Amino acid sequence: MEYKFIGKEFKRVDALSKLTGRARFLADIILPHMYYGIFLRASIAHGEILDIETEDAKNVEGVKAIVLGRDFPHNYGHLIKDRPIFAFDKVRYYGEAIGGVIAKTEEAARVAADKVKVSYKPLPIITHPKESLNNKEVIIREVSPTPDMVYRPVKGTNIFHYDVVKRGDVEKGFEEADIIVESEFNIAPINHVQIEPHGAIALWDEDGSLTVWSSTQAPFTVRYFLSDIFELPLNKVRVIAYYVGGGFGGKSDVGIEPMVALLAKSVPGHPVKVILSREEVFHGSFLRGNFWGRVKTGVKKDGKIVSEKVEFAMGGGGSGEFGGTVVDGAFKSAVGPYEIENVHAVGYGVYTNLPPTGAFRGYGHPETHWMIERQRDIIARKLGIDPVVLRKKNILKPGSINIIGQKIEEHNGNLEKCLDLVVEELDWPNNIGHIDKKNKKAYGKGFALLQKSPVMPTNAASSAILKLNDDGTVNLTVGTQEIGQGIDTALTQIAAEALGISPEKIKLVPYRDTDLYPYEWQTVASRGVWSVGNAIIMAADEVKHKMRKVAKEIFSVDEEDIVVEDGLVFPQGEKEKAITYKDLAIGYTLPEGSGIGGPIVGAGYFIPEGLVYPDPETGQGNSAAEWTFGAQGVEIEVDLITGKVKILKAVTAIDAGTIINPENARGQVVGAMAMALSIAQREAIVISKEGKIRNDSLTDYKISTIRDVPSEYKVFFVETEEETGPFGARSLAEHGMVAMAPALANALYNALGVEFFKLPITFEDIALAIDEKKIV
Amino acid sequence: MSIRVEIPNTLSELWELLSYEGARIIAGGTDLMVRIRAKVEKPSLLVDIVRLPEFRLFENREDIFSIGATLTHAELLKKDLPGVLHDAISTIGSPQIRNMGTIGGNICNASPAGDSILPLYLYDANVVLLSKNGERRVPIGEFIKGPGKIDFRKGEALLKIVFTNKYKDYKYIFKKIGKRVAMTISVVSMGLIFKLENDIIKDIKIAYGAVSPTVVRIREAEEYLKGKPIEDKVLEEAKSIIQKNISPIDDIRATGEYRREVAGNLIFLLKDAYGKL
Repeated sequence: MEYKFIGKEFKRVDALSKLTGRARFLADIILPHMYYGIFLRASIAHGEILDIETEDAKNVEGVKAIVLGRDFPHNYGHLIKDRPIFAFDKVRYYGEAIGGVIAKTEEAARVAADKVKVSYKPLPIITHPKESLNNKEVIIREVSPTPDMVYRPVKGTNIFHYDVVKRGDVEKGFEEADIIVESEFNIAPINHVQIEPHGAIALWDEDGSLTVWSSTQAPFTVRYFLSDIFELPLNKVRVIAYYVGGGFGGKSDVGIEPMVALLAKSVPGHPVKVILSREEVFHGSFLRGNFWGRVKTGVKKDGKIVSEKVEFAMGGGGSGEFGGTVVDGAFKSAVGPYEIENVHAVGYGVYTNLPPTGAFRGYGHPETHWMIERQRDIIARKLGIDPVVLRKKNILKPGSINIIGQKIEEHNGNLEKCLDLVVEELDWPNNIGHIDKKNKKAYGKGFALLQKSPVMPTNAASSAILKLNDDGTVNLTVGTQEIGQGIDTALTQIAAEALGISPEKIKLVPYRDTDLYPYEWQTVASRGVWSVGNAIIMAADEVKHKMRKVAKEIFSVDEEDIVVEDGLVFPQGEKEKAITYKDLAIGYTLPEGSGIGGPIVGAGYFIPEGLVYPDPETGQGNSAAEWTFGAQGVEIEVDLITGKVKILKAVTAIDAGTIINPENARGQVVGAMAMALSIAQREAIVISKEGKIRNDSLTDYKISTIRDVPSEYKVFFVETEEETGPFGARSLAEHGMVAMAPALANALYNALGVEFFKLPITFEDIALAIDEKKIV
Repeated sequence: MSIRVEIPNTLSELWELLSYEGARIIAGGTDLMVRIRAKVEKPSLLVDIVRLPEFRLFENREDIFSIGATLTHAELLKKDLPGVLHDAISTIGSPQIRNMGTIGGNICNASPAGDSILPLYLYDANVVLLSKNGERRVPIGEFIKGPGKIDFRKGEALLKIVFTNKYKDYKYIFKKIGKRVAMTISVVSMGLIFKLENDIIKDIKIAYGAVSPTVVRIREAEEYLKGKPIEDKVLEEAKSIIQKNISPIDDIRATGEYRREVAGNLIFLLKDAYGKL
C-alpha cells in the first residue's frame, strides 16, 4: 500500500531537545525541600539478619530518618509475592537493600550509611541455576502456594516457576530418528549497563497521596504496585516519568520505586531522591540471570527433525516475581522457529543468591536461541548436510504448527525469505571458513534464525488521546514511554497517516504522567508501535467521526457523504466547499454566529483479542499475539595469536511488516546487533566464591565501545503486512538481539573447528582453544 | 570522609604540604580517584602538583629525553617521542583519560599493566625524585618494586623521567591485548625494540606488562635472539623462554594461563614486522 507518512524518513521528534541537552531526565529534577536517600546494602550473599545498629548513623548531622526492612516486613508481587521492599528476615544476595538513610545531603546520608552495623548468620550460597535446580538442602526462599498465585513454585526446592510444552511423544520420536544429538549450554549473568542509572523521587502529601518521579519504562505498572503495597486508590498515586536514558528491559520491572516511597513515607512533605551509583546498578537493580540448558534432538538422515527435548533453568536471583515471566517468554520459543512433531520442553525459574532477574532485551529468546541455533548447526554437521538445507526442511512457514499449537499464517511473515537474504549476503556456502596459517588469522561465516512474540499478559492494553487545537494542530498523548527507541517519532507518523495531516502538525506530548496521560500496560516486548499504533488509529477514527457529525450539519448532507481527507472536510464530490480541521477543532461557528459541535477529542484503545492462558500441562494454546521472524549472520576474522575476534560484517534480515520509519527501524536492529555481540564476546558478571559481584564497575565489566562493534552492518526488511498491526506493522526492537550469539559461535566453528557451548566466548576462551587444538 | 585538596603554586608550598600527615600527591587522578571511590585509599589531604611548572618540562637534546612527570598523556602524544613510547601512551584509556592522566601518575600507580611504563624499561630509564633536600635518581626497574609499590620517601615528588635514546635506528613493536579494542586495561602487553642486519637480529630489547608483579625485561630471550634469524623455529624457542620468565596470575580480567599463552604468541609479531621491512 502507498502511504503519505508511513515508511518515510522523518526526523526524530526528540532529536533537538536531546542534542541540546534540554531533554529532561530524572537526575535533572530538583524539588523544594528535597532530601536524599542512600540504601543500606547487604555485605554477604546469603544469611539471616541478626541485628542492625543505627545509633551512630542517627547522630550524623543532617540525618532525618533511617528506615529498615523490619519496619515494613512486606513481600510484594503480582505473580508471586516474593519481593521484599527491603530485606527483613534474611538477605539473599550481596548488595540487597536492607533499608535506607535519609538526610539533607547525599553526602550526609552516605556518611551515616557507612556507620550502620549489621550482623548476620551466614548461610551457604548457590549461584548457578543448574546447581539450584538440583539442590534440596539450601532453600533460598520458602514459598507456600496461594490460590491467587500465578507462578508454580515446587515445594521443598528452589523452583519458583516452571513451564511445560508437550506435543506428540518425544520418546517415540527418538526411536524413529536416525541420529540423536545431545548438547548442554550455559550463559553467564549480565547487566543492561544503561547509561542512566536507576533512580526515583518520592513525595507523600499531607492528604496521604503519593507522587513518584521515576526513570521507568512502565509508569502505570509502578503505579499499580505502589497502590497495592501502600493500600492507596490508584488516583492517589501519581507517577511521573521523564525521558529514560536507556532501559533495555531493566527499567520495566518495579524495584527502586517502592524502596524510595517507603523511605519518603517517614518524612511527609519532603521529596526524597535516590539515584543509584554504577556499582548499585550492578548489584541493586536487575540482571539477565544466568542460564543453563540441555537439548536432545532426534533427526532423520535427510535432516527432518522428528523429536526434540529441551530442559532449561534460569537463575532468578533472590526474588522470582520479575524473572518467572522470562521463562514464560522463553518456553514458547524453546525449539526456535521450527515445526517439530514431538516436543517436550521444560523451563524452570530457580532462586539463586544473585540480584533478581528481570526483563532484558530479548526476554528469554536470546537464551533459547543460543541453544537451538547452535544445535541446528551441530546437527547439520553430524549429518553432513548444509545448515541452510537443514533449516529449510524444518522451519515454520504458512500452514506449519508451532510448538504452542498455533497455525502460522501468511501474514505472520516470511522466515524463509529472511534466511535467503542473509545467506545470499554472506555468499553462502562459498568460503565459509578457513585458517590462514601464514598470517595467523582464521576466517568464518555463520548464521542463525530467530522468532519472537511480545511476551505479555493476555490483556496487555494500550490507549491514546488525540486533541485538536483551534489552529488545526493536534496534541497526542499516550502512556507508552520514549526510552530512546524512537517510539514518539513512529507514533507521530502513525497519527499523521491516520488523521491525514502532516506530522509537523502533531505534537506527541513528551514525558508521561499517570494522572494526565491515558493508560499503557508497559513499554516492553517491542509492542509499542503495534499496540499503541492501533489505539491511535482508533482515536483518529473518533476524531474524524466527530468532525463528520458536525460537518453533516454544516453541509446538510448525510454523515456518510462527508469526506475527511488531508486535513480537509467536504461533501462527497464538492471539494471546493471544503473546510479545514481548524474550522472544526473547538466547534464550528455558523454564519449567523451560533456555534455547533465542540472541542474535538478522540480516544482509542487496543487490547490483543483472543489470547488465552497456555494449558498448564502441555503449554498449548493461543498465547502469542503475533510473531516476528528473522535471520542473522556474521563474517569474522580471528587473530590466532591473541584469540581476538573482529566482526567484519553483521547481517540481519527481518520481517517486521510495514516499516514506519526506515532509519529508526534500522537503528533499532543495528543497536541490537551491536549489543548482542558485546554480550556474546565479552559480557559476564563475575561472582566470587562468597557470592559477591567482582566486576561491579565499568572498569571491570567491559561492554563494546565504538571500536569493537562490527565494521559493517547490513539490514534487510521483508515487509509482509501484519493483519493485526497498524498499517501492517508488527513488533520490531528486541529482535536484532536474538540470534547474534549463535551466529557468532557458528562462524567460530567454521573458522576454527571448535564448538563453543557457553556465553560469552571471550578472546581468552578462543586463544586457549586454539592452543589446545594446536591450530597455530 | 571529606578530603582536603591543595594546589601549590610554588615548590616551597609543596614541601610544606607534603610534610603534613596523610598527604598524598595527585597528578591527574585517573587511577587515584577510582581507588578513593572504592575506599581502597583514604587520604586526608590531596596535593595536586599539576600547576607547578618544574614538573611540566619536556626536553629532547641529542636524544637525551627528559619528560616532566605531570605532562598528560595527550600532551605527550603531541611531542616527538620514540615510537614505542608514543604507541604505548596512545593505547591508554580514552581521550578523556589521556587529557587528565599524567606519565608520572601512571608510573607511581605502579601497575604491572601500566602502559606508559613498559617502554621506559626498554630504554632503562631513570626517574628523578625531588625533595627539599635535592634530587634523587633511580632506575625505573628499582623504583617500581611491585604492584602499587614504589621506592618513594616522605617529602618526595616524582619530578621527571630521563633516558637516552641510543636506539634511534631500531624498529619497534608495541602490542596491547585487552578485553576490547579501546578504553581497556592490558591483559598482556609487549614492547620490543630491535635492529636487524642481513636478516639477522643484531640487537633486541623485550619487555612485557601484566604478566609479572612489575613490567619485566626478558633478558634471557633477548640474549637468545641476538644473532638469530626471524624464523618459526627460533620464535618457538623464544616463546618458551618468555613463558618461563614470566609469572602471570589469574585476576578479574584474565587467567594466568591465557596471559602466558598470549605472551608467548606475541613474539611471533616479529615475523609480521620482519615481513614488512
